[in-house]
Amino acid sequence: MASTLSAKSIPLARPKNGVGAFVFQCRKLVFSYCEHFGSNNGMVCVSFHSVRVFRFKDRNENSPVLDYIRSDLVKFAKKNPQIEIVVQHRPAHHPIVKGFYLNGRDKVICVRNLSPSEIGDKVKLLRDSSGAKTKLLAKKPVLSTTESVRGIWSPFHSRRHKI
Amino acid sequence: MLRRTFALPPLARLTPPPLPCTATNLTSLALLHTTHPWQERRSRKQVLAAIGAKEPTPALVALGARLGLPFNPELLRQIVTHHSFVGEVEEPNNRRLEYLGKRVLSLYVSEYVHIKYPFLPKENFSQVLAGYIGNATLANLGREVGMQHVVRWTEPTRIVHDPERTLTIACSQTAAEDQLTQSAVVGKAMASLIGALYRERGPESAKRFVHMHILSRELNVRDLIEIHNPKRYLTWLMRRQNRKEPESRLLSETGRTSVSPVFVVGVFSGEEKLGEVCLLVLDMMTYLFLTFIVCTEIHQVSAPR
Repeated sequence: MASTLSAKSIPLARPKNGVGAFVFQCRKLVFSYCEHFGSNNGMVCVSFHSVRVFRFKDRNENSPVLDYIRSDLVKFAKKNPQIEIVVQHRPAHHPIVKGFYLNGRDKVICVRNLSPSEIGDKVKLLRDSSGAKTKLLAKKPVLSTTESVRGIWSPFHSRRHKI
Repeated sequence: MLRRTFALPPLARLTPPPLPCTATNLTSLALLHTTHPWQERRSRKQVLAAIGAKEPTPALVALGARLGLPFNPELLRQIVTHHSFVGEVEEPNNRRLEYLGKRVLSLYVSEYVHIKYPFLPKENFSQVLAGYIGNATLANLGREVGMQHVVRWTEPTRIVHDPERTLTIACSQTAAEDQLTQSAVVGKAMASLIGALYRERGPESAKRFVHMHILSRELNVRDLIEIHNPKRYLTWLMRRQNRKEPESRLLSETGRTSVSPVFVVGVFSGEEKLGEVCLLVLDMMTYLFLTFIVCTEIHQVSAPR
């Protein structure tokens, strides 16, 4: 029956995320690192909990650094199964964390020279974002598509004015 | 038979040799590690082929977790596979699930609309239904949850406009409008998702999902309703419900002899006030309050037993 209706006559059903179910907006996080550049120390030596200086000569086939990333990132990934996590080797660059959102936008944060806990804070910032461009909400604290709860004032439904 | 092995010298590059690609095997974990250098980045397809086509993609597992679906990865893969998808192996597609899902959606949304708007005219009923579960809405819903990144389908070769017929292109027989689009595929995947939920977890689970994701959407029903003869319609409605005939009564007024009078008129059925409206002329009857009656919402929606 619905197929016989013209496109114009079908009303628009607007999404209201959170009214029924909440769909997490961050869908993917990409971590890019480089083992050589010193700015990557916080990233490579883990993501969130300890600092360890990585030396070029210590590197070997089964580098403990990458195991480290796996173990800490794995904890974060377990806690957030709705986010797809990608770890990418990007040589000769500062480390970055890039978040992809369901509105099609992405946010990039360069985590150069940050400690693992600071990187963790940035990752949480990306995770908790909706992906929308940052805009000033202080001027309009309430945004709603529904009417006010108490209704708009009408002179006919209020007390008679008395002087 | 002699087997010659050629040992090539190692590639001269600054970056370390690539580590084997691994993916952790935990059910809800999606961690994909690509170790190839930036310049030699492999395509997504190549990476997945390296892991093994049996494993579900991380994006797919993430989608399942995002929607709170308790499915195993094979079922998730079936849900997002359109029947146009051509893989190396014959893979189960979502056609049957989509068929079931559309009917399940139709059931629960019809039930809800029937109870929520008991006086809704039947033309508007189908409009509201289309608004909630039409192809466009399902496609939008799919995009909002990130289905477009995981659907597996084959895009049909586009029909190229060639008036001189100099190009020979293998195009599909169907017209350009009927060609499969990503929106359509995404919408079908959403319908098949609900079908799978109904099949695996039963009606209660499917109903809860439909209410949470689809019926929570905002749809303005009042704007759809057009009543051409509001007085006649209201009289008919009251007679059908065995109520008294509607009468309009003056509730309050101001400035009757002035240039801009205001009258508050209420429509009563016996002693019960159906609605009221503010009029500028006493004889004028607008149909705004009629649609208000017709769209009376029962706040506590209870399902039929």
